[in-house]
Amino acid sequence: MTDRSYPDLSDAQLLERHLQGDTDAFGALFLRHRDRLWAVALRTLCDPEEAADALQEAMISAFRRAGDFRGDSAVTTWLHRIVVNASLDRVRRKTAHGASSVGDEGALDLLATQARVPATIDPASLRDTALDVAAALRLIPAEQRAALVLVDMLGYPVADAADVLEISVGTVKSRCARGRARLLPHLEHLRGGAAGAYPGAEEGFARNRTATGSVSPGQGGDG
Amino acid sequence: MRRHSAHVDANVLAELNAGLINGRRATRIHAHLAGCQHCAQVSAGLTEVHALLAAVPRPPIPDAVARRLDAAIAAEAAGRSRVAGPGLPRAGQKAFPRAGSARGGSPRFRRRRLASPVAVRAFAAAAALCVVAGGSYALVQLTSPGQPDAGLPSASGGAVRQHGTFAGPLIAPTHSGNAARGSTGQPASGVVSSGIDYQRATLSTQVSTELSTVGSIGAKSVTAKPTLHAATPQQDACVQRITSGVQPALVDAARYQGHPATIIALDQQENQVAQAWVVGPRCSADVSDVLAHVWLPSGG
Repeated sequence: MTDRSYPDLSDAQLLERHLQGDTDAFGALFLRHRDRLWAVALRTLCDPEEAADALQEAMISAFRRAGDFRGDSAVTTWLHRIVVNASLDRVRRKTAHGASSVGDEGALDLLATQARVPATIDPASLRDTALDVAAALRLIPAEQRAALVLVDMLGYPVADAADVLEISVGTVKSRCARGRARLLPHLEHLRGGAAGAYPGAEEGFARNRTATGSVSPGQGGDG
Repeated sequence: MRRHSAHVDANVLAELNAGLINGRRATRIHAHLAGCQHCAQVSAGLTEVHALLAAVPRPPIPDAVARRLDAAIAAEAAGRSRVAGPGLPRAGQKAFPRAGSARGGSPRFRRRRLASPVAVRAFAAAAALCVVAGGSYALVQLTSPGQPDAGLPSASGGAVRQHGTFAGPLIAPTHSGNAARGSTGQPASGVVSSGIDYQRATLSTQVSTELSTVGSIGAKSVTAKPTLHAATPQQDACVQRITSGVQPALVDAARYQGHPATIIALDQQENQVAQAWVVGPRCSADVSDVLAHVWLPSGG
């Protein structure tokens, strides 16, 4: 795998090579970003099988549509956009078939409005935190979830999330704000559990140039 | 605010925290928050929700999924080299009706479960965890966060409360909270050049330390203080894009993994979670060029 990872090429150069017929170039591009793309699909869909299908669908689509990329955004933004759209399409299809787990919006708004003020609690184990966060994420609309995944979980600048989602910065902020409000009553019991418990540095946002060190997807740095 | 309730709607508080409410309405809500413990706690809880989301590690792609995608991409590449023609679907058209649909040599995983029992179990676990697939990695990351270091300055401590350092033309605060805490002194815009070569493995610690150092500017600290200089228009635009208008606590034109890079950090506030981005030289109003990102320890 490493012999075709093209460490000296930027994302855009890899895509160009792909368009020129290099059969390894797109695979190298995927290798470079696959962990982040997987995280987006998994967290947006909350279902690993659906996420795997969405990611595969998105990557094949990107492979074939590479010529559509016009360079007005980063390659990684373009890839994320395709994955997010594939994921949201699946959510909508499930919703259309009545399989949505999203609760009644009015009820959820009420829950958010009536957020309890919690007593001080012992921090739950962080593993439990992750489980509870996962469960709570299922309860909010997919569009809000996608915004929160990008901004609050993966640390994308709001402007980048707006580019990925093809909505305005204000709309990203609004979706994140409303998503947080909806999540609050479901995560009250975890408050205080996140202090200082962050994973380490994550790379792989963009490879506009090379030799910024080995990008090892999935390897947190500082933790 | 609702007439029939003494409290502010959580959505409104969330929008206030996100900088979406300004002017007199924001002033009214802030005045209410100052005297309402319930709403103040809800507001703080909204920031904690962000902190909880940030604390969940990114799940690495499972090996089985990675192999499946590699195979699918390889099959596409093989098919393209055989056909050597465009025949590409238009944008928006599904690449294939279902993942793994019939196409020469294409994905071995149709719409079916993963091959091995181990993989099945792994997927079952992933389904349960949803955002924590790859549990072992997640657990390691969750249980050894940020290498608690007795010497690590707290990003939430008083040492980093020097927003005035970076106030002025660098960023015009748009968050009401920031405006409230920001300096009105309008000192020179602040970009430091610490000379630090930030490293991926120690990024969190290095940024936290630098935040503390920068916070000591003007104090009596004997530690080496970075030199402040004016931000270039490109740096201004870059920071504006990265922080979405929030005033950063640190902008350090330094190096990352041996190459020129700028570190942009937000410290912990009542309405924001501490984090830092490493951006490359192309960062501008239109391009982020983010090379790395890290959530910073809140210090409790």
